[in-house]
Amino acid sequence: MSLRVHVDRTHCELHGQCVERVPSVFRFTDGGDLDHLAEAGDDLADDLADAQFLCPAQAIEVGPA
Amino acid sequence: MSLADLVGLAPDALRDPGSVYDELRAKGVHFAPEVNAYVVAGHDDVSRVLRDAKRFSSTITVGNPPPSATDDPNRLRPLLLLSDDPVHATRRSIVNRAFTPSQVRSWEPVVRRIAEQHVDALRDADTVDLVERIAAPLPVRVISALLGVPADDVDKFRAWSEEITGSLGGHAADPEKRDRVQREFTGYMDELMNRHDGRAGDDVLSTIVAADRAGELTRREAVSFTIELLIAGNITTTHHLASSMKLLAETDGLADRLRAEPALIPRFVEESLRLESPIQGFYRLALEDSVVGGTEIPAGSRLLVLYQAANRDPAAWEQCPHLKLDRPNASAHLAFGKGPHACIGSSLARLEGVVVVETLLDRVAEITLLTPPDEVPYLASFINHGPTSLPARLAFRPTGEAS
Repeated sequence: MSLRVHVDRTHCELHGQCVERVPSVFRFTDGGDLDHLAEAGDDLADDLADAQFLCPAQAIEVGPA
Repeated sequence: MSLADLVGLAPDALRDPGSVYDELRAKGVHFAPEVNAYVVAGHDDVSRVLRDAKRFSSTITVGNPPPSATDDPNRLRPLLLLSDDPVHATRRSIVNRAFTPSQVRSWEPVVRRIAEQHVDALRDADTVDLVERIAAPLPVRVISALLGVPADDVDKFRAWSEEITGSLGGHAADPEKRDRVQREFTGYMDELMNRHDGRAGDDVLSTIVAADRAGELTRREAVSFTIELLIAGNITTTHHLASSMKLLAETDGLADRLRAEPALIPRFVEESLRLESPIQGFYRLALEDSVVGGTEIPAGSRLLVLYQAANRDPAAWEQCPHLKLDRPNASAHLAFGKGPHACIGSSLARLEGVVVVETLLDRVAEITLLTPPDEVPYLASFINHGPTSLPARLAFRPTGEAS
């Protein structure tokens, strides 16, 4: 079982709260763009929910893969 | 009109800087002696510089030199606005929790009550100044309520806040007065935090007091933080509300359309932010040699990064100068910046914009502006952008009439 992670690029403002919260899924590239895994393990469900909650732009969607 | 007119605070340029930005964009990234900085005006270039916080430092965001060891240590300094990672990320994560979108949504009833009070108070007035009566007092009332500032102190609060922000990008700063205002403001906030009972709450002050008591922040930092958040959200939101009301009044058919289709109101608010960005631009400091938009920028250079110019870049926006309610990329404007320093209060600013427009549409049938469009006065600053006065006549709808 795994989770699907999607970031809506028209809303993302690159605040970086998700990178702080779940660095194993979200990271910044050298140029400061957001990069993220498309899928993550179920064990990260709580962390991903936190990242979703903390995102100032509400740009993160998490669902079943 | 030229950049010199804008920097020289010529009223016509401040009111409508669009042609200045068109010219700057057409020139590409270039050094402008008027601001002693490389000017970045295209959408992609602005976005790139803002994202790349490793190469472009925020320590000179408002144009002043970065802090030095010889500065007065008692001088109040913003903790978020002028800091770089890793310090910035740590501080930011402390306050971010107080400004999550779900947190901000929970404040909606407070914002709505304040907006209704301000609009209803105008019911019997003949003519009103929409800036003086709505746009200026409302944001400070809201942020004061969220900080737990007693109602009696709100006017004092507003005066301090305006004094400190008014000097950004303008030429009116009086260092002695500024220092005195900062001392008074700091003392007041220190007292407010001392009196706080320390209980965890959903307001901003509780979050900061908790960090203070947990030792994540010194008291001085905690006070600076609170003041920074208050100031950051005050004049910017005033300008945002004023520009939105101006657009609402002067755009043919807009009020009727929004009343018929209230779901479009948030889209109007995005367009208002795009077309009349309350912060026109900020500075960055190049930490290393780099190339932006094909132009070489040596380490140590200043860059003036123009959000408003990006928001009016025809390469990024179809029918760019027109207010359109059906843009697929409506919220992708750069009015709140982008990257690690993107505005932490954007959800609150959007909420205030939407609620004020909804309240006006609900209660007022027609807003008639009494100043010709080319005579509306704007703040004497090329960083902060917004009308300082909007005299208007309001035709209220009969009470009890449903919208």
